[in-house]
Amino acid sequence: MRAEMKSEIIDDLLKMAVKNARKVVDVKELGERTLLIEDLGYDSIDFMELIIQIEGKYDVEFGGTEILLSNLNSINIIADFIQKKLQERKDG
Amino acid sequence: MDDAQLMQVARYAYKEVPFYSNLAKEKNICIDSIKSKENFIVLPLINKDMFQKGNRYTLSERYYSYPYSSRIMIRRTSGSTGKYLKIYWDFQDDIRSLIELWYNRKKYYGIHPRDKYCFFYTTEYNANKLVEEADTSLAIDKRSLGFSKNDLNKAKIIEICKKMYEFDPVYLLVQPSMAVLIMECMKENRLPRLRSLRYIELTGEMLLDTVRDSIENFFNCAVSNQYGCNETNCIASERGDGELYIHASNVYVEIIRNGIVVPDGECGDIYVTSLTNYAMPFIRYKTGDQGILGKKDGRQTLTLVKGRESQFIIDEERNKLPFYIFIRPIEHINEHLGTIVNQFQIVQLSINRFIVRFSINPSYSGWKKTIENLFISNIKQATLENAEWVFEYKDNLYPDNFTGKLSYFSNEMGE
Repeated sequence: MRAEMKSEIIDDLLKMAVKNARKVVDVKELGERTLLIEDLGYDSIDFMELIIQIEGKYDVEFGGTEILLSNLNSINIIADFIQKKLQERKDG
Repeated sequence: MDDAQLMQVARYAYKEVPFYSNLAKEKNICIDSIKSKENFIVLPLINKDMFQKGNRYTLSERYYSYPYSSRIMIRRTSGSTGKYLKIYWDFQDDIRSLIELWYNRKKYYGIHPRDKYCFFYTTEYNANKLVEEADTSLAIDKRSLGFSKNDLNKAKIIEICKKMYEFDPVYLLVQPSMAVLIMECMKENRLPRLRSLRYIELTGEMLLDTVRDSIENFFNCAVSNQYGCNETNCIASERGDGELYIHASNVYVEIIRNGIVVPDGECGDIYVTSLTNYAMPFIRYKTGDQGILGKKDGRQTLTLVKGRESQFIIDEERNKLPFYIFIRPIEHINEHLGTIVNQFQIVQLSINRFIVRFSINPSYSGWKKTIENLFISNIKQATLENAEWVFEYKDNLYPDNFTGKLSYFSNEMGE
């Protein structure tokens, strides 16, 4: 169940991430190991766009200390972060 | 901020950057034994003098060669300390360092990264080369419009205001002294307010409450303060409540007095460790400002105690000019002759009479006349053309006892 949920999140994230990408990429070539800066050419403005989209879609909030490089540059780690936030909300 | 990120950047610096690895040898420090914030404090405190002397050895060795060398961008510090330093950033690290600032702008002030804004610059660089300015304004792209702070006078400020009205920015990134000049010009000439303006971000100088209030009241929009430096980018910014919150994703901040870290609530020198600059790491680096750390809603706050106060040059037409116009000639000297001006300080004694103090690299002592000519020819301020410049050369220029900083401009006319 958890694996399915993460897989869905990754699919959604990749679609969102590609919309802001500065490099032309095919979403089919991307996966959980995709790095936003290195692979998609993200700048800080693109990150901001993505954060806004993630917060809107999942109703989660990135606090100051959570906006760490390790949380944001990798699709896999962003997916883990979202999954953790959703689980916390579910557990009440 | 987690300890892991701090330890990672410290280990990287002490292993990959000759300046730090030499320090480790000198102080007999084993970086692998530094595993938490508790023993992080054994690492030496660094200041700008040490960085200047460290020269290219302050750059990470991996950035000496391709492909890393192609990712480098260079910034110049000229700040109120009056000490010149080239700062190297990896483009990708620069992006990472700014994410939290953008997050705060959006969340607390509704400013979107694609909103239009105006800013002011002293010198502009393109592909790391100093750009000669042909105009007072520079449109970098469709969303930003920059204005040179050189050769300002009342007529030019009116011209800037007109261009702002045409451009219709949503926000301004501006130093308090420049915001005041724009405000005074608009008041004096009964110019209308900027229609779409929703936000002003003030940075680069100590922000006095009275100045902030007058800017907020006049422009009738949200005003926030941002504290940072070129070495680390943003250190702290506001979140709508007047407090400066530390950017924990970008910097680790310590307050130090007499070499010892002081607890929250106590005043001391601000030292920062950049968590994102890997090309030229800054580990326990003195900013030159003083402050007090605190906590609010579980987040670390910073109160600035003594920062960069704005002072104005008075020209022969009694115009107030921002002191930034002196940065341009210094940058020209260092750009064209190599980095030979280590420190500078300019004092206005009376209308059209200035003392210029330089501390230069001793091996260039035969270049004084060239330095002086380059300085005067690059001021580019018509109303200072008749000024008399008295040059003095010192081994070192020392910070003011009261401010704790070496102010690079001081007006001693008593006005």
